[in-house]
Amino acid sequence: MTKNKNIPDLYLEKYIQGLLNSEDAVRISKLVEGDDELMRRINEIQLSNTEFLSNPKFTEGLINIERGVNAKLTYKKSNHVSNWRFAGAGLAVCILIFTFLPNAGLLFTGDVEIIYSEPGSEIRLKGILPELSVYRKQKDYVEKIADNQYVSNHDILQLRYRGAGYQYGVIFSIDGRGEITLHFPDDVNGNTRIQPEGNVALPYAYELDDAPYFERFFLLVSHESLDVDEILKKGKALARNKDSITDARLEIQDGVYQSSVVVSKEK
Amino acid sequence: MNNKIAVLYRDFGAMVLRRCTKLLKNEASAFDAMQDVFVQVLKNEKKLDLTNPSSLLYRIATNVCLNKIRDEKKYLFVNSDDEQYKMLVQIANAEDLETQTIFSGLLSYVFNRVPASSKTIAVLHYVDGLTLSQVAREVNLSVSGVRKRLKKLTAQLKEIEGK
Repeated sequence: MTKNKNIPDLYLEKYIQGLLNSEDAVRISKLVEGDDELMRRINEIQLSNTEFLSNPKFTEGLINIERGVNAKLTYKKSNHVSNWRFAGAGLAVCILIFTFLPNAGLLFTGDVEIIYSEPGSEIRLKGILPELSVYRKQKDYVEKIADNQYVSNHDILQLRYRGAGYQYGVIFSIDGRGEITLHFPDDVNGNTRIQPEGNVALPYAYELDDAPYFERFFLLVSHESLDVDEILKKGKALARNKDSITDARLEIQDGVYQSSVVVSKEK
Repeated sequence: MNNKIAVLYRDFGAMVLRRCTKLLKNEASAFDAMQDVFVQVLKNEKKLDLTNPSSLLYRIATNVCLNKIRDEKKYLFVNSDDEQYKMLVQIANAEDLETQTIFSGLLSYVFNRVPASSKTIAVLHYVDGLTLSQVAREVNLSVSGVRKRLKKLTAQLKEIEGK
């Protein structure tokens, strides 16, 4: 992957989705700078992603996929609309609503991702959104931890973030006792500059202590420098509200994108 | 449709459509192929390892398109100056004897836990330009495994070209 024109489409797709390993992501990030052709290819893919979701064929495809499974691809056009078609259409509409409601704050908390559109901003798509991932070290491999997955005391976790173009970020967690731990930067006066492209692992692993119930990890990113102390105060305020501590959003200023991952503690 | 597949469709549908459009050179056929890809995923969800969805969907899309090119004979008569496209048509029409010997079901070898078809490997390397090690990573084979598969298929392609 040394010559720009030789970067396969699949790698650019993964790069945009934030699914490349950090080494390849950094390499492509460097190549993108000052390479108009590569930038054009990336822009083309991103534009195509947006067009796909806004095209009526998006919904049509969803319904046809459902139809293909239920009718074993033998369905022919007719005026008769069966129940499963309504079900498919309903689901499609739900997804469209989740995806396209403009300026609505928290739009969709699905199995996989939170879609959030900042007030006044363009709609952003999953894959080019900032994201925090939690990985657990196993004996001879590393496992990605899903939201709400159970983990144990003393598990070794590593945090990775995807800046998705944002230049500044803060990562911290709240545990089941309401204690706050700052993971990035190293201290409240540290530089909040992050790597805007690719998936980046924090340099230090993190051992879970014996705090009960859960640990919720937050990633906050912005195009401007962040006040760590202020963010941690917001975290402490959230931690005081036990009813919403695992799912409420931080009361944070406009222009700061936030996402979080909760790991549940085994009893 | 379950939420997981719907989210996959939302997040990767455009990528699959682009892949199919590139291989089939026809928007309508590509749209059909894209739907076929997700139908396969939906039907076989429990057998699939979805931890690396972009690679998996890319492979399934490649396989679906190769089958379409092979089955819809019109592609044989496309008069194209595009060498990569000629190569693609040749690969699609090659006999993938080794893979067929190992795996009886046509669908089975597009899934993550079994090796990809030799044809898919050939497309990734010869048409998409992935290096051998990149292909190996994508299809969960060793580099020597990829090389071996390509060697057999390439020999057959040369035979076809020589006829």
